[in-house]
Amino acid sequence: MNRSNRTERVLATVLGALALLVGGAAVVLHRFAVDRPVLDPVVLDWARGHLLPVRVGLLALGLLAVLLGLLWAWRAIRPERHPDVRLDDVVVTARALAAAVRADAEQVDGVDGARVSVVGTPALRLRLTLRHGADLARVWRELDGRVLSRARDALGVDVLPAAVRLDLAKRERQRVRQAVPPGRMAGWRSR
Amino acid sequence: MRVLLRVLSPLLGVALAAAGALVVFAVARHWAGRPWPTWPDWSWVDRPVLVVGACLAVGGLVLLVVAARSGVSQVPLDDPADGVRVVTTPASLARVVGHRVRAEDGVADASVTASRRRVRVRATSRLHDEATLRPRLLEVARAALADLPMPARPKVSVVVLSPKDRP
Repeated sequence: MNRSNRTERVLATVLGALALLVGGAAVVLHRFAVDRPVLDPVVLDWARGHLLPVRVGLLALGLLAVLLGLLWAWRAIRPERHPDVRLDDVVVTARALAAAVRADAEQVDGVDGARVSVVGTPALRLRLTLRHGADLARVWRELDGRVLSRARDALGVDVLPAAVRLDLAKRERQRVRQAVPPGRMAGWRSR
Repeated sequence: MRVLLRVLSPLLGVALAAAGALVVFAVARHWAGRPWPTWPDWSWVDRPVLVVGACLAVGGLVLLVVAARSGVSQVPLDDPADGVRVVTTPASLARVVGHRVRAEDGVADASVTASRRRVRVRATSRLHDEATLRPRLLEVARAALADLPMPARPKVSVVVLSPKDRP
């Protein structure tokens, strides 16, 4: 399972919808030949009459945009954290824990490969690729029975948050063609 | 589309922050007694307004499409334990059903498309007509889905293409 991009998608959707609305309104007003200034004098007069709230409002809006924009950019570029897990007086590195869980997951019948990341203290993200024709229901059962329960026992926790994605591999394309009967080939060759 | 969103996100974030900083700067400048920045005296009928508006609308539409297409569609499976969330993909669901349908006697080939709510099977057969094969394949596809630990089962539809049905 990939890192979630839900926040980025929500922000892009909001910004896209706003741009579409404003741009669309400008095009429509142009199309209907509304001959008024873009900065409407009525609005400007009202703003001059209420200067303090307008200033404060614009300032708040600007600061909100700065904060939101920086958070958005930081969230998009920051590397994902893989925290180590502390067990009493021993620290298990995220890499070691991921490798152990991956080795267990790859032992499950039907699993072709596994990618495991530690994404919390402790929380796991697993992506299992199953062979074509593998029994998905059995893998689902064994995943908790053999892999995650073992990890829970090892870490001494009752609940181990995990996000798991099961991908079934494609069937392989048939790369062998049916043989031509030898008699016919022999006849062709003899001609 | 996921990659495009990952590339666009920091750029859009920085652009939004820069726009916000410009507004803050202009307000602070005005508060200090300076005039507002000069703004072109455009009317709605002026051509630059149409160009800027059209660019904004197209950019917004592109952004909406990128945001909509960059999500990974998932099919939830039952949670095997507290805190454990298991999902699979529509393609995997289609492969589970396709594997079972292709194993049926008389099925030459089958293509399956699946979503969270619906599974569509399109099988070809040289030996059986649709009236004979369709009920059996429907049962097989439903049984394949029934074996899966799913909170909600998708609806199944089956179409059989057979030379025997040709008039």
